[in-house]
Amino acid sequence: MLKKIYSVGEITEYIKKAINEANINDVWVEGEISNFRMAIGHYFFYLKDENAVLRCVMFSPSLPYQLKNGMKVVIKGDVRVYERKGIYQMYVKDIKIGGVGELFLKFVEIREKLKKEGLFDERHKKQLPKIPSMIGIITSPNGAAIKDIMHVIERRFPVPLLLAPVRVQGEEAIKEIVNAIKILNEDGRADVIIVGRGGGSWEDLMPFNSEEVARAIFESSIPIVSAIGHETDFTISDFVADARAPTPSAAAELVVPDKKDVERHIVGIASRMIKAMETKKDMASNFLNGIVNRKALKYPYELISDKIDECMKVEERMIKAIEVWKERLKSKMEIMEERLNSSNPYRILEKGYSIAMLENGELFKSVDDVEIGDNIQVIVKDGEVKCKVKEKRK
Amino acid sequence: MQGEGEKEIKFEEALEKLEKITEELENGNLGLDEMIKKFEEGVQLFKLCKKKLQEAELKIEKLMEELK
Repeated sequence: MLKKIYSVGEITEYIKKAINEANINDVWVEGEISNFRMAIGHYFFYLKDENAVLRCVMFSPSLPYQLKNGMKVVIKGDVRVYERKGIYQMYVKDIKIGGVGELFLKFVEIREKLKKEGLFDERHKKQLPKIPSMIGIITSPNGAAIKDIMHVIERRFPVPLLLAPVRVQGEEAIKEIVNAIKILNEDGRADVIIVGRGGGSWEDLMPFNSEEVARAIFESSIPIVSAIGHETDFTISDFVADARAPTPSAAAELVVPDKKDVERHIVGIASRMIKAMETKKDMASNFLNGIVNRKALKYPYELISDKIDECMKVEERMIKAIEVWKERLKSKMEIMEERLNSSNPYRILEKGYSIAMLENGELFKSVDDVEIGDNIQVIVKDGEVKCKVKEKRK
Repeated sequence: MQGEGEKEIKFEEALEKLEKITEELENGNLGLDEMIKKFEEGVQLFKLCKKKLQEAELKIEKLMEELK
């Protein structure tokens, strides 16, 4: 049937090409480990089930657990031909322990679903408080996680902790974690929550891959830091949490600052405050000095002394005016008196003249006014004399 | 298992307030009277923060025994 005789190399190359074209890459295979051995840090084993055997090799694996014969695992890898040994084998990239095949598929399914719904979106991430007044902790009361967290918080910045003890693996864990998140939110005292547990098998971490826990974390109004397993473990809770810490200790460091830093910060603020106040004080006292040194306050009398002078001058002028007026009045009165006096008929009596009057009191002015024998009256300076006319001549 | 009941200002709030007051003081736009008032408030907050820092201690309270 074959017309051509192939060399081993040629036929192997042909098989290799055929397998490559089959594109058996990144496939998940479930089975049981047998013939496990380690050589220079690499794993070699068979994966088998009741029907078949698949050779496997895993280079430089870093697994948090030890592979053993008889272990049920799910592996992910590419199938290739190894020419020199004339075999095909799977180059393993990832191993999940236990009957997790379905679990893993479910994990991927939930992750994609929640991602599509936007539960992992950055915009939903809440900011952690700079300094929490109380930290809620959802974890096992007996695990290593709680001890690690307490240790770090006590060292960095002791803050009251509100423990919500839950189981972190097994069937009941999901319900308890969801409930704990709800109750801490209702309590309201904690302003940040750490949800977590220490390392474990992938199966152990399953509660943190559940849709229920993911949604509870999403719905929490208190920011949540996830701290699940080891650095390399990523759970759905990590994706939905407001912050992810690689370990519980790291979560504790994330939620509280170092007390010494805070102290320095506060002292820094205080000195800034004092400096601002001193600047203002200087400004104010300069301003005040400026006012105090003004003429008005320093020599207040000077301000009104001019006015006083002015008043005094006015007063003087008034007095002078009154004097002048009085003087003028006086001389005017004197003149008037003089004039009055000079027109007073009795004044001539002073000079030795006398006034004669008829008996009827009229002035005696003419010879014709009297007859011989008439009585007349003569007024002199110091009295009056009654006389009788003896003769008259014209 | 309930808290002490006294509703006092949280450390973070006190610190934020202190920072805000300091900024206001530094801006220097306030009158002297107001500045003195703010400064006094700031000093009180500073004391409070210091006190809270000094008094900070790890207290552990267990919530919801009823869970189990």
